[in-house]
Amino acid sequence: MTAPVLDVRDLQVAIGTTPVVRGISFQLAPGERLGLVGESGSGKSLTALSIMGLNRDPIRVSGGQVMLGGTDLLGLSRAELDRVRGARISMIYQDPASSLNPLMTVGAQIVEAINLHDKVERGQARARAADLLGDVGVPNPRQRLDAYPHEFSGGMRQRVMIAIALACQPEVLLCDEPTTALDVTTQSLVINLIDRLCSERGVATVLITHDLGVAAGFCDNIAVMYAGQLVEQSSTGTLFANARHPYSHALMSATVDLGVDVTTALPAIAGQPPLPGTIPRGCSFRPRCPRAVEACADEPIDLLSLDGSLVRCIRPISSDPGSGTHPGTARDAAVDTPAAQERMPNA
Amino acid sequence: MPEAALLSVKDLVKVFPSREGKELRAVDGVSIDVRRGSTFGLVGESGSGKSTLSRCILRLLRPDAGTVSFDGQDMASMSAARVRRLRSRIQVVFQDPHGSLNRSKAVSDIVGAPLAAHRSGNRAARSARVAELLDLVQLPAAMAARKPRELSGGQAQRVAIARALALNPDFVVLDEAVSALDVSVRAQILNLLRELQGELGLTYLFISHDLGVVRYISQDIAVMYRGRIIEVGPREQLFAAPQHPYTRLLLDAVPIADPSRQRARMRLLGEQTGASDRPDLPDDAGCRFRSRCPVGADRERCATEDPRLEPHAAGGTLAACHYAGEIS
Ligand SMILES: Nc1ncnc2c1ncn2[C@@H]1O[C@H](COP(=O)(O)OP(=O)(O)OP(=O)(O)O)[C@@H](O)[C@H]1O
Ligand SMILES: Nc1ncnc2c1ncn2[C@@H]1O[C@H](COP(=O)(O)OP(=O)(O)OP(=O)(O)O)[C@@H](O)[C@H]1O
Ligand code: SF4
Ligand code: SF4
Ligand SMILES: [Mg+2]
Ligand SMILES: [Mg+2]
Repeated sequence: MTAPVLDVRDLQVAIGTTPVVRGISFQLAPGERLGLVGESGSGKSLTALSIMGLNRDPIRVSGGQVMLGGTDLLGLSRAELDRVRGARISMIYQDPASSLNPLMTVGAQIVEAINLHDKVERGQARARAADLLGDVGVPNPRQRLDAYPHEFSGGMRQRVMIAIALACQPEVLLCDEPTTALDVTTQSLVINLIDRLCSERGVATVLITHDLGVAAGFCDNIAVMYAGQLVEQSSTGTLFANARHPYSHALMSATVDLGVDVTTALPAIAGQPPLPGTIPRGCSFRPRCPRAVEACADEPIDLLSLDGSLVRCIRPISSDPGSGTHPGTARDAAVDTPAAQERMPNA
Repeated sequence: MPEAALLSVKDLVKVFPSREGKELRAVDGVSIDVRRGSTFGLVGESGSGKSTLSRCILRLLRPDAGTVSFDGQDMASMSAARVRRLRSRIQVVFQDPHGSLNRSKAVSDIVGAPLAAHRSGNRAARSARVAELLDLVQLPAAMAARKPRELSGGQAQRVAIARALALNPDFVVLDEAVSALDVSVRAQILNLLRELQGELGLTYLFISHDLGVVRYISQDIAVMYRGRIIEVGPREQLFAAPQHPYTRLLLDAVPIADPSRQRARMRLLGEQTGASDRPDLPDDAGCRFRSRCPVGADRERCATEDPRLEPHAAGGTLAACHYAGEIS
C-alpha cells in the first residue's frame, strides 16, 4: 500500500473527563474514499472535528495521533494548524447554517477560501468562485455570488460549503453529511464531483453519511461506528454482502428503500445506544444485541481481523451468507492474524 | 376544495427581489390540498421552493398572491387572536435543526416552551410531558439538561421533533426532519409519526429528498421544480407510473444499497447531470425543465408553451408536461 496521507491512530476524545471517542484508528491512502457510518451520536462528527483540531471546550483530544504526511496535527501550534487547515485538509461541516458567515456574501466566502490556497487577482478569484458554485449545480452562479446565505435554500447553503471546501484544493477532505439536504440528482452531481477529485487529483476523502446508498456507490471502504468505537471496517462490497458485526448487520437491514412495505412498521434496532460515560462493561452493543451471550459482558471486545475485515465481536455473524447461526468466534479466526492495533506502521 | 382537506393552498406565489433586478419567483403558482389525517409528501430539486412554500403556509412569509386556508378558513382574513390559537394546532420542524433551537436554552426548556407559552398544565405536569416527549423521540432523559451545541446533528433534530409534538398539534410541517438520523432511529421516528397519525389523526406536510422515506410515509406526493409543482398524485400512481420526465429522473437517481450496481449508476448519472451554467428560469415562454429534458429538448411546443399541471391519459397523476408519460 502507498504511504497513507492520513493516519489516525487510536484517537481519543473526551468531554470533560467522559470519553466519547474511544480509540479510533484508520488510514487513508491518496485518492481513497472511506465511509464513516453509524448511529446518531456515536462520535462521527467529533472524530472529524478532532482531526481538524476544531474542538471547543469542554471537548478535547485525550489521546492518539493524527498524522498528515509525516506531521502529527495534534502537536501543532494554533498558527501552524491554521496553515494546514484549508490548504492541506478541509472539511464540509454537518451544519451549514452555523459554519457560514451570515454577514458575508456567498461569493466573498468562497473567494476567501480560494485565497487561502493561492493568491489570485480579484476578478480571477471571483470567476473561479462562480465556476465552483456552478459545479455544485447552483443556477445563475455569477449573479448568486452576491447573495447572502439567508437568501439561499438549505441545500444551496450546503453546496456553498462544499464549494468552499473544494476551493482549498486539499489533500484530505472530510465530508460530514454533505448531501443531507440535496435532491437525488443534485446529490449525484456533488458526489460525482468529489469522486472525480479522488480519482483525478488523489484527494483522500472521509464521507460521513447516514445514506447507505450513497456510501455504497462512493466508498472503497466503510467503517461502522457505535458508541465511540469502530465496530466493523471492511471493503464496501464485503460489508454490504455480509456484515459481520450484529450492529452493522442491523443497520443495513433498517434502510428504507423504494421497495419497503408501506403497510407495516419499519424494522428498527430495539433499545437506545448507551450515553457516553455509561457504556456497559464488555461489549457496548450487548444490551441491544440479539446474539449476546454471557461472555460478551466479561471484558472489552477488541477489534480483530476476520477474513480481511476488522470486527469487534466475539460472536460475529457467519461469513456464509444466509446463515447467521453458526458463529465461529472472532478470537479463533484471529489466532494468527495480527490485531488491528498492530497493523499500524510505526511512522 | 375537497371536503376532507385540512389545508388548502391555492395559486400561491412568493417572489424574492434579486440583485440583478430580475425577480426570483421562488414559488410560482402552487396549489395543494392536504387531506385531514393524511401525509402529503413534497419532494423536488434543491432550491425549488419547498421551504418557501411551507413558510408561506406557516405565515412566516407573506405570499405575494394566492390563498392558504386551514380548516376551511382563509388564514389571511383571520383575526390575530384566531391566528394565535391556530399556532398551537400548527407546528413545524425546520430544515436546519441546530439553527432553529435557541442556543442559550436547555433541551427541557426548548421542548417545554410551547407548553409554557400556551399555559398547558402546571410546572410538574409540563416537566412530565417533556420527559415523555424525549422518550418518544428516543432521547435519553439525561439530554434534558443539555444545550443545543452539546447535541449531535441527529439529537438536535429529535429535540425539534419533540418540541413540534408537545402540544398535540393537528398539523405538522416536517422539513427534512429525519435527514440527520441514522437509519434505525429514522425508522423509529417514522413509526412514531405514523402511530400518532393513527391514534390522534395528525396531518403532516412532509418535505424530504429521501424518496424511499417519502414513499413510505405519504399518501399523496407532489414534485417541485423551479417554483412549480410539476407532478402530483397518489403514492401508488406516482411511483408506479411517473409521467413527468423530471419525476422519472428523480426515481432513477435514488441511490441503492448495492455497491456494484450503485457505482455503475452513479457514473452514468454523473455524465447525464453534468454541471452547467443553468439559469433559474428559461428566458422564453417554454417549459422550465427543457434544458435538462431528455424528451422535449428539441421539440417546438416545449420551447414556446409553458405546460400546465393537468391530467393525462397515460397515468393517474397530474403532470405539467406536453408529452407526459412518453418514454425517452
Ligand atoms: N459540546 C458537547 N458537550 C457535551 N456533549 C457533546 C458535545 N458535543 C457532542 N456531544 C455528545 O457527543 C456524542 C458524539 O457527538 P457527535 O456529534 O460526534 O455524533 P455523530 O456521530 O456525529 O451523530 P449524528 O449522526 O447525530 O450527527 C453525542 O452523544 C453528543 O451528544
Ligand atoms: N429570503 C430570501 N431571499 C431571497 N431569495 C430567497 C430567500 N429564501 C429563499 N430564496 C430563494 O428561493 C428559492 C427557493 O428556496 P427554498 O428554500 O424554498 O428551496 P427548497 O426547495 O426548500 O430547497 P432545499 O431543498 O435546498 O432546502 C431559492 O432559489 C432561494 O435562493
Ligand atoms: S460481542 Fe456479543 S454482544 Fe457484542 S456484538 Fe458480538 S455477540 Fe453481540
Ligand atoms: S413539456 Fe417538453 S420540455 Fe417540458 S418536461 Fe415535458 S417534454 Fe420535457
Ligand atoms: Mg454528526
Ligand atoms: Mg428547504
